[in-house]
Amino acid sequence: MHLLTLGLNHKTAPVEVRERLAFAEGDQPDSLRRLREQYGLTEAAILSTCNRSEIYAASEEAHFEGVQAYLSEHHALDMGHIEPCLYRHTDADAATHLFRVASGIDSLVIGESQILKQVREALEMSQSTGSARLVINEVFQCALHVGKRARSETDIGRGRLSVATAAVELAGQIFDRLDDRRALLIGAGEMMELAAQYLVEAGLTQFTVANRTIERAQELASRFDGDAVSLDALEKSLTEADIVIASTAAPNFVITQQAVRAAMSGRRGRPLFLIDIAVPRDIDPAIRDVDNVFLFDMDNLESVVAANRSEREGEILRVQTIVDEELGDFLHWFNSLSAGPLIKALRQQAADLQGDELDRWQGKLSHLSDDDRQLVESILRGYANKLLHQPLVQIRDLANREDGYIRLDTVRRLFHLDESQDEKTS
Amino acid sequence: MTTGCLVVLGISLLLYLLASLFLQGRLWWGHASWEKWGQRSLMAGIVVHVIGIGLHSGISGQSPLSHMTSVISLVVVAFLVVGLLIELRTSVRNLTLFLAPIAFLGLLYPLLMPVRFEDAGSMLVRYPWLGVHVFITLLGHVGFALSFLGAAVHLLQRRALKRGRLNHYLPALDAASRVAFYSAGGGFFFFTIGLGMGAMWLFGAPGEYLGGTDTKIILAIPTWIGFALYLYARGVRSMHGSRLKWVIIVAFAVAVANYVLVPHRFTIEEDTSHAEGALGIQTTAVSSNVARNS
Repeated sequence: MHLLTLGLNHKTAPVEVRERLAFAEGDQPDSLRRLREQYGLTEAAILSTCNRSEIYAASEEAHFEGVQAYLSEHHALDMGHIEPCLYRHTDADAATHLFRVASGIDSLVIGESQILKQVREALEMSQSTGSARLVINEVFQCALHVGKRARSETDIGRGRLSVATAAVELAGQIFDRLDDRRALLIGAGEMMELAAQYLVEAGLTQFTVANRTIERAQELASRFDGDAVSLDALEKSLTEADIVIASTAAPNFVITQQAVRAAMSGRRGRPLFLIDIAVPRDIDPAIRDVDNVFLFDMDNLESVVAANRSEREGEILRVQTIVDEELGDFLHWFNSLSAGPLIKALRQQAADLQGDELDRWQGKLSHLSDDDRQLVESILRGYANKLLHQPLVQIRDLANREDGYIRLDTVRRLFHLDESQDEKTS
Repeated sequence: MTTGCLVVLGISLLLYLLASLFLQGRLWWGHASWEKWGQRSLMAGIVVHVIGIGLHSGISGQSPLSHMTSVISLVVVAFLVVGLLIELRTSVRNLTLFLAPIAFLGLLYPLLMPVRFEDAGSMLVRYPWLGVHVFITLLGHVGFALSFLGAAVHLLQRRALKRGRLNHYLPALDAASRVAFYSAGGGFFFFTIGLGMGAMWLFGAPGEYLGGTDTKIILAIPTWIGFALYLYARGVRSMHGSRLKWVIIVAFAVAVANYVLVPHRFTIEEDTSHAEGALGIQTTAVSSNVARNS
């Protein structure tokens, strides 16, 4: 049995190619059924996301013709055009690839958690159509385990990687809960709407929108069930707010150090978190000198994002160690699959020989009582088992070696067994 | 304390050290899996520690409050349990990273310098109420230590944020501030009661005890005043400034200096008669008129 992977991803193919090879969710059950019934695969699973389209399959032959033919037919593509974008992996390489995918180190955004959910969904889809049996089930379960370990034992998923989400993450460093905090949004543009959206997702419910034109402020405030004020009322709003995000087109500072000092006096030193995403800046950087006031501008946010990205990249080696550990366990199991039929065939051969010998000596043993005859059978069986014990142990060991296939083939030849006999007994 | 008990406490000390190394490794080098091992070592340390205290009480037939090492052990366990409860029941994250090293140092001191506590220990056997006073005062120190932890973490987080950096491992600024405030409140409550009990014991203490000039008592005053000031500013005046955290740090530093550097001082006259103290404690003969620096 072989494990095969054929696919493409963001590293090997541009989006124009990726979108042509994507599998719609509704098509997948039929695709999986056809892969098994018409294209000679024993098991199959499809992992299709915005950044990758991959088919995982278990097959008796380590050939990709079936998968390729299906891809070409299903997507009505000339394989010659997409050939340079495709990658193919077999057995250990295929499992390694899936483990890396599930752990997030093969993703466009390193460590993103969405991929683990997508791997689980691919397995569930395959299971629901009866396409996941022994191999696909095991390799995907191992991959999910790798993904969980990677996220719990390393920092691969830590830290946000966009400016807007990094701002929310920073707010979480100052306030452990956001649901009882108030945000003041200065400006009512698209960027502000996006920031407000992230804050709502993080649990914040109280909003004040301040804008030069009050109508625009009211429009945005109504979307988040907040209040609208004009820029003239900023000082009072500063006293009440805990998080301030500023993004206006004003040529001068909208928030001065003096205004912040006055607000902090009213706040009795409660922390105030300000984010300035305007260029030119809306908030006087001198407010950093005020106690318990934390100002982050675009440069700061970008450096936080860069630090998060670098931290995640630094975790890749640790994740790879987990991948290698789990791969060892998986391969031990996977390789023993190839030894199983051979062991059965050997046992069967011994049993057949035993039967043949008894038949051959039937005439000379006819005087034996039933009990004595059973004793002779038992002696022969015990002898055969003892003789085979050590070779069988060695076969299991050989199956887990790098060149296991070659060695098992030698054993097969030695005992005059062919592969069809293996399959017959399995 | 028997050798067996000391060995058990030594094992728990090693487990705290192991936990500290794992957890600090997590904090500074980011080895995520070390956190799990650190937490396991810490939990094992607590279990072994409690066994050690129980063993001491079982073998000696005395209350755990009758021996200074045992009293301090109980206080260290209380510190860890309260700290872990705060982390488990509130949104304050990663407090465990800082609990283990403090527990290690807290237990290391009495185990390294048992001689310092010998006379204090003999006093505790003679005067059980003194043991209760010491235990309750040290419980106050548990609150102060947690408050110090909250204040220190607050200042570290503040420094990182002021520099435009993000430290994932430190608790949120306001969570650290809450730990500092509520722990200071609890610590202050026990510390005040403990001081009151000490004063009552002094009033009924046999012979001449040089309480009035005892540095330990004198140094307890700035600690009490420091935390009282902090609690007034934060609790009554609702002040949240970072400078207040320095008041906690200074007050706690004085408390630690008092605990570590200042020896116990007992001057008790020869007295063969039985005396009845203010707390109704029957006292018997004590040693000759010497100033003991334990």
